[in-house]
Amino acid sequence: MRQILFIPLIFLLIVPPAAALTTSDCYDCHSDEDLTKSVAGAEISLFVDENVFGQSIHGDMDCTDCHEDVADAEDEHEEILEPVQCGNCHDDPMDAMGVGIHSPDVAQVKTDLPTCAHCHGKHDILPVENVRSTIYDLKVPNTCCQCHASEEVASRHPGISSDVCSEYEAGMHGIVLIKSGMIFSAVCNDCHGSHDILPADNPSSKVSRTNINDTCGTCHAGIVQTYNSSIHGKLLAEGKEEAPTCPSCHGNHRVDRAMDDQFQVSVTDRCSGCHHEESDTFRDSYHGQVTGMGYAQAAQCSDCHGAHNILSKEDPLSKIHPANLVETCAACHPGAGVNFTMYIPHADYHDAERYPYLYYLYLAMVILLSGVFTFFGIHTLLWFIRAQKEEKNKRA
Amino acid sequence: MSEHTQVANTEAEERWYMRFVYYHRFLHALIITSFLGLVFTGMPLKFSETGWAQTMAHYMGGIQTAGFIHRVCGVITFLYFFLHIFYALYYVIKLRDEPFFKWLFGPNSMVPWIKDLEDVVGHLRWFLGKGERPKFDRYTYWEKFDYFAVFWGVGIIGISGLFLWFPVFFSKFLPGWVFNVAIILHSDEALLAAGFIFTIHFFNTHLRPEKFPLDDVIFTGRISEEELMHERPLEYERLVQKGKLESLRTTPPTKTLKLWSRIVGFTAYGFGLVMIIFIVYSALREIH
Repeated sequence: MRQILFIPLIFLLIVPPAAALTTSDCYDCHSDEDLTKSVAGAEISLFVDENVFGQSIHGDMDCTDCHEDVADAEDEHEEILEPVQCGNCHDDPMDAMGVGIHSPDVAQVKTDLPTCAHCHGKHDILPVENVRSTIYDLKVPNTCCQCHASEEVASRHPGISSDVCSEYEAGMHGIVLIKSGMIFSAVCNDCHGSHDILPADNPSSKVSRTNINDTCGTCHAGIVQTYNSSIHGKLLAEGKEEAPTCPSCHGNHRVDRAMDDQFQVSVTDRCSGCHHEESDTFRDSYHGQVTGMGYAQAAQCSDCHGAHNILSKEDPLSKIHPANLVETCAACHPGAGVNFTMYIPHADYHDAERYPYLYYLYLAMVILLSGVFTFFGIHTLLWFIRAQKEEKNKRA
Repeated sequence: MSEHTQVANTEAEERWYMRFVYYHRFLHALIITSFLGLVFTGMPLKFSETGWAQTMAHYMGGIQTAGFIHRVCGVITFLYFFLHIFYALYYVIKLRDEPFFKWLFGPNSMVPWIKDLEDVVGHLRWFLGKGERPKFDRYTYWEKFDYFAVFWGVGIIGISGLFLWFPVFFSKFLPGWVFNVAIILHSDEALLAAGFIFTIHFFNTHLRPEKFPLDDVIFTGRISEEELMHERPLEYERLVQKGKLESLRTTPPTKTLKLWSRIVGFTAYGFGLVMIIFIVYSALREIH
């Protein structure tokens, strides 16, 4: 019986010690918190927390599953290891990374490019639904903003702005996520994608002109449906250059809440980029003037024309189709009737051809004002000179 | 005040006559306050794109508050307008002491007549040193112009203002484009009124060398004998002739009344000056 028990020990003696490193072999050294190496004068920790790794998504795997080049090492191994090849298992994300802007093959400036570990971590990688994961919805902006909030990084990459993170935080998506803690809010990768992120000028990008509305529509489905049947949506479908997409009016990283006064008083600024003349005539009108003074209740573009549902005046469904005008005006002016709708909201009294009566009325006012001020201006000036002389004579 | 007047004041006890009774002064006070209120709350809207306008509206408690003040001052305007109409009717029916047409085209009426036209020409000739200064009566031609400017202004600005205040009501029997007309009239008439009052009226009445810095007759109601003789010789002569002068004799303005007049007058100046700078600045910017 004793002899039988010795057999395994004999094996141990015969077989040369540890042909491959086991995970526990690794921990023999790497559980030492003070274990470091020096690279170009910098101390780099080589400590691996057994607990953290054990709880990570890769916790059941062995060190050598990823650090393949040390699998054959005996006891001690080369100081410099080959980079871990996540793509050996994760081939789909790896392929996607290869075509995205973060790939050295795509990026124009090849510094600061993130590797898997920059976003996912190393020994502490957790599944996406784990609240402590770097790619959990609430954490995604933090992860991306490690680089994208940095002015230094931005300065090395033309076309990249370091404002995107603060803009995002100030916008509705950021507020809902960060202040309200709601994970359904859009985070970076919801719009930009994850591994295959492409710049907006690339037609395949999720945020390109052709795709951005669909991207927004993944959440705002109803709005995009309405928009698609609007005059803007039809123009966009026809491939017209000037057709607006969601960010044309709502911005991109900072998407403000449309119900806020701040947004309401700046609607004209959003439309004026294309509709110059209409914006100018609106700003000259009473509605435009009080809006300009910050009165959000006054009618601005979308109150009469609609927002996502803007249609041509000829369309019977349009808010400004003659058949619907009474209803549109009455939304703010209860009791308004057909007479009321004869008001010309975009009147231009400088335009003699289109609004002759208003033009000549305005001209008459200009003549009246100039006449009065010219006569009394001269009258006053002459009087002043004469009266000065008289006063002087009196004193003398 | 000239040295001459000061000498007269101290040497002999000067005689004072009532030119404007309480009612006149009260209506003028209503005009000052409501007019300044209207201009201050209205002009920022006319020049809403300037930074000044935004700041002014901000300190008035926002454009909504400014709009409220504007409407309150509008109501005061209608109030003094009708108070004056009642007074004018009362004058014509009760106070008038001469036949209607004689009064209407005479010196105690505001209606401009041939004498006023002659005075305009005569005054202009005097400016150019080509004649004597015309002898003025109780109301000069520029005072009549001011008076009818208010009438015309309240009519045009007031009615167009009501249109813009109650558009739904007026659209019951008027087409909507009257609001386009109303906004042009309201806005440009207001510019005329403010520009006129804060420059021409201020100069004609207060700032010209003979009156500088302030003619306080409208505030105290009292005019000195010397001023009456010099400024309105025809009225003086007529009152003497008809033996009515003594009935207008009154006490000299007290120090408190004089001080109060100056406070009110200079405050109105100050506001007017601020507004005229704002208007000129904004108008020039708009042209630019």
